[in-house]
Amino acid sequence: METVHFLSYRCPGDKDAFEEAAESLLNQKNKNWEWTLIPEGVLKNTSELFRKKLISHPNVNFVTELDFAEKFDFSKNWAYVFFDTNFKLDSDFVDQIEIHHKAFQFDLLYSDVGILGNGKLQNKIWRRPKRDLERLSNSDYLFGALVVTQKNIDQLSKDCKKNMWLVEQHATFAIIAGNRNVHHVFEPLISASKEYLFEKTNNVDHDRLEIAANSSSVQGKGVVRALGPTGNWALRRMAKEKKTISIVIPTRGDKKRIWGIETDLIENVIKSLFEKTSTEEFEVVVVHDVNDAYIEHASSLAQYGDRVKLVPFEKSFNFSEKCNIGVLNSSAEFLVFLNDDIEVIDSWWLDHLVGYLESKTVGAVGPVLLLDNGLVQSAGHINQPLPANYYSRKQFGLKSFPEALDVPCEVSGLTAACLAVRRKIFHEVGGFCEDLPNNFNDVDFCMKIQETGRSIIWTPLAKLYHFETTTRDTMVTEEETEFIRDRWGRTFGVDLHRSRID
Amino acid sequence: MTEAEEQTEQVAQLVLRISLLERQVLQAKDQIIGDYAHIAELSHRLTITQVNNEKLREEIKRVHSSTAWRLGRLILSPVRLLKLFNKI
Repeated sequence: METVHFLSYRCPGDKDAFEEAAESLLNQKNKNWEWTLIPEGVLKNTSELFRKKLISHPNVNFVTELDFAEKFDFSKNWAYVFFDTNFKLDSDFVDQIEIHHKAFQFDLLYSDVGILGNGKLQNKIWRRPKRDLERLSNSDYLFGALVVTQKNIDQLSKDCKKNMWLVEQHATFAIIAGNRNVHHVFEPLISASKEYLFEKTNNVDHDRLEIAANSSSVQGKGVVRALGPTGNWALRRMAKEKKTISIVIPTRGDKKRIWGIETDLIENVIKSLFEKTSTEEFEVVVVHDVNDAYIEHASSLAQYGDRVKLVPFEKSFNFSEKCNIGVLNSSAEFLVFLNDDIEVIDSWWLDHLVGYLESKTVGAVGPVLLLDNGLVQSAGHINQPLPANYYSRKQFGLKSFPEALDVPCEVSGLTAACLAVRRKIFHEVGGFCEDLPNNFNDVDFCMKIQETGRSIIWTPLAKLYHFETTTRDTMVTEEETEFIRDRWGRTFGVDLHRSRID
Repeated sequence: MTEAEEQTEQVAQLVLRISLLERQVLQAKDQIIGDYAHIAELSHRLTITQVNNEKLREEIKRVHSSTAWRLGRLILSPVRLLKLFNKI
């Protein structure tokens, strides 16, 4: 195999980390490598012995940014590794990428990361998320030692190749957007300290990402920069033009104590929709049990005229059936399913959700749902071991590692307490499964959408309250568990979308 | 009932019928996708079982070819002969 070329532009001021990274490259079992780096002053902090060793090494080249821009030739080697010198490489890193290339013919390769503590490898691994365009547009999680094959760099414009980080970003975006072969190695071929990983994943350079996202035309025009929940900037999609939206709300017509006051849930949610939502292009379809409350609501909701439609439901409770009936009684191109114990927080929530559905690759989208005490009710699902609400009852807005709640990202599923989907896709997958009247109907719905090759997106950039839960029975029965396992059991156990250290 | 009322009634019936048919289409689609998913799940479980079986076969082979097993077999050979004798 030909030479692998390492490129480093993130040489840290910490000389110890730099020396360890350099040593890990110098001590590779396979010597078929070359290293070009822009040292940015770190070299003078290292020991003289180390400096001499590095400078005299035949495979190591030091360049300035200008030299790199004018002279670097990307045609010489078969693969380029964007090497962050805060990371240590496994001693057979070069061998491993050759082996993986022979087996998988990848365009881009990244691996999981071992966690270092006191300079030693801990028994912890950062399982990195699978490739995810949404997440990648907002967080730079492929960093460390990202391997890109030569042909993918060759296709970039001359301007892109003038700067190492531009090459890295543009090659990554082009490969992911072009649906080329992204290979995730599920073992740690590199390692770094937990402190550095925390720092890195929580302080993403959004200027860079914004430039890269816009220039690669991945996100389109409807992107605005927004302040994320932990104070980082993120990119918030918005609908490019006005869309018609049907909001379907199944209800029994219950009342519940909210903010200390006995509240009529359906009246509260509809009031909140009309008062707080910035877009006006929506209708509401309420699928209501026929009971005393129905008669009451028929008169109280009349004030909204044609924009609120009351559909009677005379059978025993079935959430899926109610949602399906609601859709058949609606007319808009975009559908949003909402529980009755919801209250709007962010005025742009509807535009933001629909903004995602403009993309053909997105199947469904959902926001972050908060309890009345501010804790998270649902941040999408995690299928580990069985599908459940991710980050449930944890603090929202705290800096976390990895960036669990920072940015919009692909997830395994969403709660139907608030879920947006295109009508076409709803019909394509047969709506909600009516054999699941209470639980897992949203899990099944999202799995069916993913089977069509579309992604499910969760976004923290739109928030709603969810005063869980009066709309359904929360007890999961054995039959329901068996049913969902019989359909999708193979996808449970390891969640590829959510990376977790614990 | 006037002709106009009759027609209105017929239209209402048709709308109801269409709505029912649409729901049946939804249910049928869900059933088909669900069945395909179930087949994929069964096939996945079968593969796992086959892999496990293969592993167990290998394990049995390894045990049978081990010195301890051969030694034990040798030691117990008189017992085997006795059993055989008893059967006859």
